[in-house]
Amino acid sequence: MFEAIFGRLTWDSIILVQAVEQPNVNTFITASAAAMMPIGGVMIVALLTWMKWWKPLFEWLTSVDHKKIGTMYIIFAVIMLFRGVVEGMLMRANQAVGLNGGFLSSDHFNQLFTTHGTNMIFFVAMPFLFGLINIVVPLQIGARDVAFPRLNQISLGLTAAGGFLFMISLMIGEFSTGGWTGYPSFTGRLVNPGVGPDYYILAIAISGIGSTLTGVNFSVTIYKMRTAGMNFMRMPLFTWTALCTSILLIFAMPPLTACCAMLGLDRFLGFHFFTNDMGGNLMNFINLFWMFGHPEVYILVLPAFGVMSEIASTYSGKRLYGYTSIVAATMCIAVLSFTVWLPHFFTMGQSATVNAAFGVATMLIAIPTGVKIYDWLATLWGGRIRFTAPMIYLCGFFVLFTIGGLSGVILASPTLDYQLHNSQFLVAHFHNVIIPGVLFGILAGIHIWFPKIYGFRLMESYSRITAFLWAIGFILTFMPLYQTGLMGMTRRTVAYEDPALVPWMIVSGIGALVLGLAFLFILLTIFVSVLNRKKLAVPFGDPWDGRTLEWWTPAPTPEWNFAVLPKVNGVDAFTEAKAKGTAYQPIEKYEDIEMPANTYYGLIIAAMASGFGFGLVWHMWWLAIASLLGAIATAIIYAFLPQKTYIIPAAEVREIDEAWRRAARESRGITRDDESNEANKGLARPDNITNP
Amino acid sequence: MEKNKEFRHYLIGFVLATVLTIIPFTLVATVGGKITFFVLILCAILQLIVHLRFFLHLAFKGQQREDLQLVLFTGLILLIMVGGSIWVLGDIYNRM
Amino acid sequence: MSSSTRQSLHPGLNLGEEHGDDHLEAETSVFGFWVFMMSDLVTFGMFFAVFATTMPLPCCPGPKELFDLGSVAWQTAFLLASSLTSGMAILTLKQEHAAQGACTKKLVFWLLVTVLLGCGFLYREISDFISMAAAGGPPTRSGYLSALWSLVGLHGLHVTGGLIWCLVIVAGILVRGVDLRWKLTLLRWAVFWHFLDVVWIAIFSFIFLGGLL
Repeated sequence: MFEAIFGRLTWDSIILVQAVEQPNVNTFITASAAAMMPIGGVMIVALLTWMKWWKPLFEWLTSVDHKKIGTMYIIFAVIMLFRGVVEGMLMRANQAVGLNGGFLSSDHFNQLFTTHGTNMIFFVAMPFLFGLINIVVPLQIGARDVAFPRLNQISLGLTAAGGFLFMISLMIGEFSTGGWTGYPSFTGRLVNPGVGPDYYILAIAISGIGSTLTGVNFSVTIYKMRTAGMNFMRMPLFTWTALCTSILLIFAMPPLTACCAMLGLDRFLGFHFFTNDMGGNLMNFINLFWMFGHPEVYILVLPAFGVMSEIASTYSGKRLYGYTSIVAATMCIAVLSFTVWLPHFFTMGQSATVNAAFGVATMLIAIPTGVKIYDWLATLWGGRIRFTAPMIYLCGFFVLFTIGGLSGVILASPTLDYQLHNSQFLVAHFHNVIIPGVLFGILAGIHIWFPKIYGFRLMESYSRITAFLWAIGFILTFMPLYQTGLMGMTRRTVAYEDPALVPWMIVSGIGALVLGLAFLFILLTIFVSVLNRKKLAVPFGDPWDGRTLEWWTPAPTPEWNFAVLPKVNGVDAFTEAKAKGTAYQPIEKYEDIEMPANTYYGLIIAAMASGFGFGLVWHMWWLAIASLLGAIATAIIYAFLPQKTYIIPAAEVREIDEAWRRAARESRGITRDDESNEANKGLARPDNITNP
Repeated sequence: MEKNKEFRHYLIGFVLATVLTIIPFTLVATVGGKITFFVLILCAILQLIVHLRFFLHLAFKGQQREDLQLVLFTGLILLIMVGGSIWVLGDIYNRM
Repeated sequence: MSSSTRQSLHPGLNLGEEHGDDHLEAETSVFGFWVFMMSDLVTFGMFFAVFATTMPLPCCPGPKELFDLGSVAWQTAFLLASSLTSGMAILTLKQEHAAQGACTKKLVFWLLVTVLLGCGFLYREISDFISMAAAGGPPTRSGYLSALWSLVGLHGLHVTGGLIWCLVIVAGILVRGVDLRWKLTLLRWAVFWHFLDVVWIAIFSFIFLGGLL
């Protein structure tokens, strides 16, 4: 009977039990990490109860407001980033003492690199980016919300469900040891019948469905909900990159869903998609996975490029140079990204012709990126540059991302790749493009748009230190890996035998400590900023002399975004309005605003998806079936329930909006000299030396 | 009348699709061979167009640009992905 | 067919201006669903790609032993007919339900006929699967069979989903009447149903007929 209820779940599956039964370094580390979850959970429940924050919590969890959903994505990502950084630090620590064996067992190390990669891509980078896109894009196009607010909530729920499965694997069971790429037949039923690969498949497939729906949502939002006068060539660059990212999501997530489903069929039902015998072919998985995997890296980096565009123009007080060429380059990257999946497996047996064709295509895709970098440099030239934290990230990006891109061009040559594939050189390359590219963009984006949502800036000094720590930490940790890769050290290896590698590993280990410190500084920055929020307040909503529509609202932005939807006549409509003096003129007519009401839909789907995944992993079939039926029933029931909205009366909108406009007209504002000090209340006065 | 026109649209599509189905079925059941293969592909593509035109009301004129862009772009992506897979996996198979 | 650009706000059959605001509301909803359909098509495409690159093994049963061309012809006929009847349903929606409170009998009739034809399709398909398994061709037998069963099975799952969806719509129309929400759902469902037939063209052409060549 126990088997019917609990499937293959036993007491031994729980890491805390394992730690007691077999105490060693590995179980101790894992158990301590896992214990953080119940302990943290209890602490959070206590905090919520003591501060009476349960009702606000559920208001947030049932909200369909894009700003709240975006914030929740980011909070989720920060928590997962903590785990990801710890995993990375553990691996680097092991490698620093890894000559002839470190302190981790190979099984533990293998789980670490698998969870580190899976976590960082699916539960850190993508949620961070979805969070930024959620918060910013509707504001930048002058809309009140996304096209499908409830679907937005469901996407968040599915991502959270995937994250839940990923986190629970730390405590109950184990995770896959097959890397974030999860190739069969290693992850097939024969070699790894345990729960690890099942957790992996379900975590990424479930969150992958959420990501696909996000792609649908945002592409429709950008296509259909732009404000009057905003044709495509007047959209801000961040919105352009969000559009291209959405297109990539729509077409690149299905291959992942498909290959995960096929691997799942192999594992659960004994199919022969990827087995070594009976007509299976693991190359099909690899082919499908990278057909997802390559566009995926562009999904990660394109929004970061969008942020770089915003930084370049905003913090140099200049219009973006070469708007058309950057848009064209972004679209080229988006389309070309579907044609270059094969270089991820040059060594898997294709002929030289096939390899060469894809190698050339990959080198081509570097060209539009180069165009963008030149455009950003040209934007900075002659501008009123402020060396704020985002500008530090941009400059770090210019130097470091270029190196990473160049190492990518090296890897794009099949001949060279045969030597470098799966060595530490590859590890150095992709961290070199992800950290100075994606992460810098994310952190800069948070610094830029945080004041818009919360009404106060992040403390500039702390943000700058954070930026420098990330740059230095990255350089120390990953630059040595280029060298060790060239010296022949492979990736994903718990130990090595060449003593010449040791000094490089030690430097890299020190770098990992710096990265850990950098992460702590993110938390510290937010903490200190919250403590000083009155001094840092920017109620007028335009702390950086912004150029695009999102800066044309008070801060914190009211839930309806714009009291009256703006009409635009060109790129950088807000700058134009400020120059003409019409930015804060009173508006004659206000109307009632109808907003979608809160709903439990996303929360319920999240719970059902979690149950479905957990049930499948542990062969608790009743749980899987009940969750699936529950999800379907939920959808049917919600189809019959009326879709509630609530009205915000015009009088209320008028009161808030008029007060803001009047105060803005009557205040003086600051020049960029005072941007980083207390005088900045979010109102901009033109510098005499600004180039429009 | 407009209503009859719309109804006839569906009916024409149905008839065309039926013809384009009967041809390949009959050919495969009786003749077979390489020519049948090409006729099969041709009929499939034509029937796809019939469905898109008469059932799904896609056209080159008379609708928003993004609607056609969407389907054409998807077609391109499918061509690259499916065609590319066949090319790559076929190449690997030949070298085994 | 609505041919002026103003009438055509989204791909597929538009409600038309007689439906007033409902016609305008449909633009975002139906376009969004088409976008989702495109991603679904790519998922099918991936199963096709795997199928196309998996050869039948000499040891195990293949197309000639397992395929029943007559049954496939019946399934094709059922699905194509159901495409026509679903079109009739949407035409009825467009032409007779511009105002609220019109009689829903004709609409429900065409929807139920579609469900019936869809059930016929599923019945034949499931029977075929059962006889294939009995003839030594279950999906666990070879890579080719895994690819075949999963691709055809994925389509069958979609058909099942579409039928359940249609029944929910019928229930909704009978309980709530043909208001904006059910109109939009119907438009989306019709797009879904037509795309199932589009995918079926590829399946019967390349899997069944192609396999027998």
